Amino acid sequence: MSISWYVAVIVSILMIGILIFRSAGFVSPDYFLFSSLPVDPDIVQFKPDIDTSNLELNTVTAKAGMAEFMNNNPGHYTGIIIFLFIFLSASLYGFYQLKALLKSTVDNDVFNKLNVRRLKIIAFLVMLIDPIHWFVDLYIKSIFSDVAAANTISLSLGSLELSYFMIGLLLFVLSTVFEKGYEMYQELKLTV
Amino acid sequence: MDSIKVNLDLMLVKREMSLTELSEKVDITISNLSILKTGKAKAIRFSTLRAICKALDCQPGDILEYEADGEK
Repeated sequence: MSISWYVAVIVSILMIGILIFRSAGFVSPDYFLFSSLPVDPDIVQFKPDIDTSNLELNTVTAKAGMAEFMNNNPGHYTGIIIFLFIFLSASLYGFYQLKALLKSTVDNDVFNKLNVRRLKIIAFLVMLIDPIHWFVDLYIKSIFSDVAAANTISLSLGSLELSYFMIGLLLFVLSTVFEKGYEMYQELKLTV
Repeated sequence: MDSIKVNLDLMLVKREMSLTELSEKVDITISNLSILKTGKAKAIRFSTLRAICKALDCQPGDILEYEADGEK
């Protein structure tokens, strides 16, 4: 097979890897270690020496760090750390599957049953990213429900939010293509 | 399930030829001929069939046989 094919495979796998890597929070630790949430503007006060007669607060966003959880909500803090551990383990497992997939391409044995299974596992893990984000978002906002603006705790189902889900679906389609490829390869191998 | 039976071993005995000899004559590896002989093959190329028929001096029907359901 041509070198360009191998390059395309490596680039594709790297791209998928980066997506998982980003979602695991390695690129920006703030993503997991801090949480931004909208709060009720009524609880915010201006400095007394500032003239605020022409100012009106509509939206206020607060940032809650891990220290906040650790000091005030040790239970939640432990929960978040356990969740983070599970998420990172799942990401590493996904990486292991990617590595095995890449190795099989180098070994010239792409169309096999194991690769079909690996692709399905990766697709499943990628599809889980969006629901997990929603869950974590909702969970953190619920912790601060007494200060958060009541009407802002909602799930967003915009097109961007579904991007990981779409990638997961595409991977599932790719796994069925691999399944067909495996069948055809077996037939070719047993053609005398 | 009905199937296609390969009588290659029978023809080899009739022609007093070994699998290795046939392999050399038709230029097909022994492992591929074994796949054919043991009935594991999923398909056979016309070129392979032609080469085997030529080497064994026989007809395709002498090598391949249709086996209906329940027949053995």
